[in-house]
Amino acid sequence: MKVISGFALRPLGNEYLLIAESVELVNFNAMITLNESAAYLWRNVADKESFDEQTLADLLLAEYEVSPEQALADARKTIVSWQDAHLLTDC
Amino acid sequence: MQLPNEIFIPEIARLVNEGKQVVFTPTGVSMRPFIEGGVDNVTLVQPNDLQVGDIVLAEIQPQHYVLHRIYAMQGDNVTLMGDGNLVGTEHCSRSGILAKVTAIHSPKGQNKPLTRAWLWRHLKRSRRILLKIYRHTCI
Repeated sequence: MKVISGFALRPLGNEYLLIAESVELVNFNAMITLNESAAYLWRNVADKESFDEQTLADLLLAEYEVSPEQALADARKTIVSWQDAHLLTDC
Repeated sequence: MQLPNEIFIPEIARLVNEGKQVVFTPTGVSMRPFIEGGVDNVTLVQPNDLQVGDIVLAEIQPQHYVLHRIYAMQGDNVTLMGDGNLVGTEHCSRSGILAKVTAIHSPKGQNKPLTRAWLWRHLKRSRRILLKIYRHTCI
C-alpha cells in the first residue's frame, strides 16, 4: 500500500493536521488530525512507493521505546485508521 | 477534535490567503438568526471587495477572533457587530479582516440565503423580541 499524495502535514497545537493542498476547497469539519507518532509515521512513508505494517512497526521501534509486539499492534491500528479515512491506496 | 481559536483560525487565514475556500462550523449564538453556531457551516474566501453587510472573520485583538457582520467602514476602520447581539460593536482595521463568508450551509446541505441584512441591521431596537421569537420557533 501507499499513502495518497497531495496532503500536507501542518503542526496545529499538540496535533498535526493533514490538509489536502491540491484541492480548492478545504473542509475544516472533515479535517484529519494525527498525533505526534502518527505524524512521524506519515512523514516517513509519504514518499514511499510501498509500505506495509512491518514498515510502520520498524519505524516505531526506531523512534520509540516500545516492544516489537506493541509496535506491530500500533502499526496495524494506524493502518486501519488511515484506511478508514481513505488515505491509503494500493500500489 | 475541538481546537482553540488561536490555533486553528490562523490556519484558516493562511489557507484563505493562498486562495483556497475553507469550510468550517462557527460556534456561539452571536450571528443568530442568520448563522446557527455549532450547526451551520460557512464557506470563507479572501476578503476582497468588502462591503457593509458582509459577514467576515476578523481579528479584533491579538488572537481574539469574531465571525461578525460589517456594520460600517470609514477609511481603514471597520465596525463589526454580531447579528444576534443587542448592543456592542467591535472595531478593527481592514487588515484585521481575515476572510469573508460567501455561503452559509445548513446541516441538510442546503445553502441559507446570504444577504447583507439591510433590514436586520436597522432593527436593533426590535432585536430582543425578534431573537426571542426565533429561539422559540426555529431552534
